[in-house]
Amino acid sequence: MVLLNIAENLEQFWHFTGFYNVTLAPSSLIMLCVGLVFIYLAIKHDFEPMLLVPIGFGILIGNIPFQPGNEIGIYEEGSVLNILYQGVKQGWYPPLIFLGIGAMTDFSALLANPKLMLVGAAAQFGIFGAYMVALAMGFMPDQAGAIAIIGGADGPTAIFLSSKLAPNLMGAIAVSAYSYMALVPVIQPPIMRLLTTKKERAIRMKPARKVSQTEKILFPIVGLILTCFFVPSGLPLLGMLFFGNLLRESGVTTRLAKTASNAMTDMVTIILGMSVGASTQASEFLTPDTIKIFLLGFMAFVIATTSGVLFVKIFNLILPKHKKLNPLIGNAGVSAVPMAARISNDQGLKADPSNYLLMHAMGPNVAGVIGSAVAAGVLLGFLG
Amino acid sequence: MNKKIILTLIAVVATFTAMAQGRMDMCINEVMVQNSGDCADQNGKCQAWVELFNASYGTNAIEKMFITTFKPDYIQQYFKEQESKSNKKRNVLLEELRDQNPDKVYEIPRGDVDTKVKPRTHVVFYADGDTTAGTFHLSFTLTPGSENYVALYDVNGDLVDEVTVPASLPAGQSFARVTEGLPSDMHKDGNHSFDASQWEARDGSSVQKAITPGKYNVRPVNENIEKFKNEDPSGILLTIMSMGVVFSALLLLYILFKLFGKAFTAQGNKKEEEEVEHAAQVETHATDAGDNDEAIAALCMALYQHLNAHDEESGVLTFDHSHEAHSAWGSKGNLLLHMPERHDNH
Repeated sequence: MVLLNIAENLEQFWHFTGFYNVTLAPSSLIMLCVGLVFIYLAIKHDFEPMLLVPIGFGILIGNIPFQPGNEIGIYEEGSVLNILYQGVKQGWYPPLIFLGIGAMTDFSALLANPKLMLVGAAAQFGIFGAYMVALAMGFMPDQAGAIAIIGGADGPTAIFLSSKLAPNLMGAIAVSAYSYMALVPVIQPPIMRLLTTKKERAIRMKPARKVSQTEKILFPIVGLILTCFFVPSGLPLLGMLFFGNLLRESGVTTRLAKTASNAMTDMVTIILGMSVGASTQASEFLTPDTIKIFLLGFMAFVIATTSGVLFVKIFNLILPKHKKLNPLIGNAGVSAVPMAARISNDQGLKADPSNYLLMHAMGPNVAGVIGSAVAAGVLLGFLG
Repeated sequence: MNKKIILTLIAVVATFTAMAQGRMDMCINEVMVQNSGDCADQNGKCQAWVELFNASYGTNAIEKMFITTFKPDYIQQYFKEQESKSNKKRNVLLEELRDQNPDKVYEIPRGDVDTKVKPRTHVVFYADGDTTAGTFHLSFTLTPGSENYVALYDVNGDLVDEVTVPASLPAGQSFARVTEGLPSDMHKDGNHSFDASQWEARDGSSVQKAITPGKYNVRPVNENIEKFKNEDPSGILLTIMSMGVVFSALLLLYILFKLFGKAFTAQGNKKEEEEVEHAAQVETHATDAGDNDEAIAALCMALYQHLNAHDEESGVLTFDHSHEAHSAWGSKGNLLLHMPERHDNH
């Protein structure tokens, strides 16, 4: 009798285990492998480790098979993971990350040469180019908008917009956006070389002028009012971005800026990355749509890079000779700060070992952050 | 001067923004005068009802708001008369009016959690004149076959919304807004007056004519998505518009900061020129003094004597304190103890 009870209890326990439940949902094993690949890429190859480690581990957490109904899973109301996931679902975390980005970003390079803002704007064509392709592939306009924002190369923006327009696709969009951001050094250089001549790559840009502190303080205030009057729907992202920047530049809130850019951003990044990873459950993630999203994400990055570089080339036609821009900084307009700017610099050094483009490329790079947030606001305004 | 103008402009813009963000957005959404069984109350009685809608995207507490059948002319006249006699506020005057005419003014009581109306949701009040039945039972009734006026006043005694239900409304039909009231449309110019063209009689004969107490008058659909799906299947239109907006926003920023840059560079250059000029002047004075090397030497000797300057070091040792202000409880580093080292005594 006792032995029978033990056997019954053990059988009941067996039904609770992951080993039993994995037989009911074998696809979760694939997702576990995906999570392990992310962790491997982050640790071994240093691909965006700050993002891929939390996301990769989150994928492991979210795909351990379990018996539903015990407030364990991320989609089970009341569970710890579900509470953390609310910040993603409701779009709380991305604006907090933007606060940190604002507090970290020095807009001097952009203010020294404000025409670089237009390069940041041009690169946003990657978003809308991908939108058109997504529509052609059969996505609804709101889904297409959420997928297209991958072209903004900005993880928090992608999560924010997809949580509003297509929450069911958010996991795939976030993972795709962060994956391609990590792959920017692989995707962008061939396109940049293909679209430019050696002579163009060797163009030396005029050294940037010194920017006064007053200009730096005015920028977040004027920037907020101006951009948000155009696109109020971008307020959560742009408001926090410019607020963080004012904390940095005002000179009187150094402690707040330090906290926003370090401790707070780190905390939110950990929770955001882990929650996004955990939300990619096999049933939601392993669908044909995910493959399409990854394909569209790649196209968005290619279109964005192409449009940024080509815009600089066209812009050079109307610029005087001594003010010409090096087209290699065009790629930086996609945002992906500061990776894209570093790529401009690396490619520039390959063409001319004494031509440092980093500071010039930081201009379109930070303009890209503003541009993608504005684009997200526009899409939310039109399709939300 | 320029800075002052800029700051004033920013303050003006900020004020307008703040004004645009705070508003009371309750409205009367649908009224049934003669209920023939479409919406029974909790006791199963079919009464006349008045539906309110929270048109905003935030929860609205409607407690202490007033629902009345008094027309605004009468209330304004009453306010005028009473305000000339005392300094009482309008909500107090409305409370007095409620006490004098309980069958015409109903004040939504405090303390009922259900009076917190969630965003974009509805709440139905039964016009049965039986306040003992609960919070959502008005103290007055509506009269079938005659014109019925219903108005909503906020906690300050200001008119929020009003409706005049025509006498011709047949039994069993409701009088409803054609579409749910939108905050921007309703209150944008502070004009809450009744516009009959925004209302229609509903007989429940079709989806469009459905009687919908506590529900949307029009089924909510994302019109934008439908519109873009039908009118812009390739996405070109949206792309052009969106790129236009992105470019316009950043172009404007570019122009502004180009101008700022020019202004600040000119200012910086002026300062630099002044500094250079000042330095040149100092140099000239120094050169003038330099004509007499002996005088300079004498001055230096005098200063040396006066300040008792010497080349010997003080010989005092000091500790170089860390700039970071650690506290014992705030710094893990300070709390960690070193493992004791083991020394063998041979």
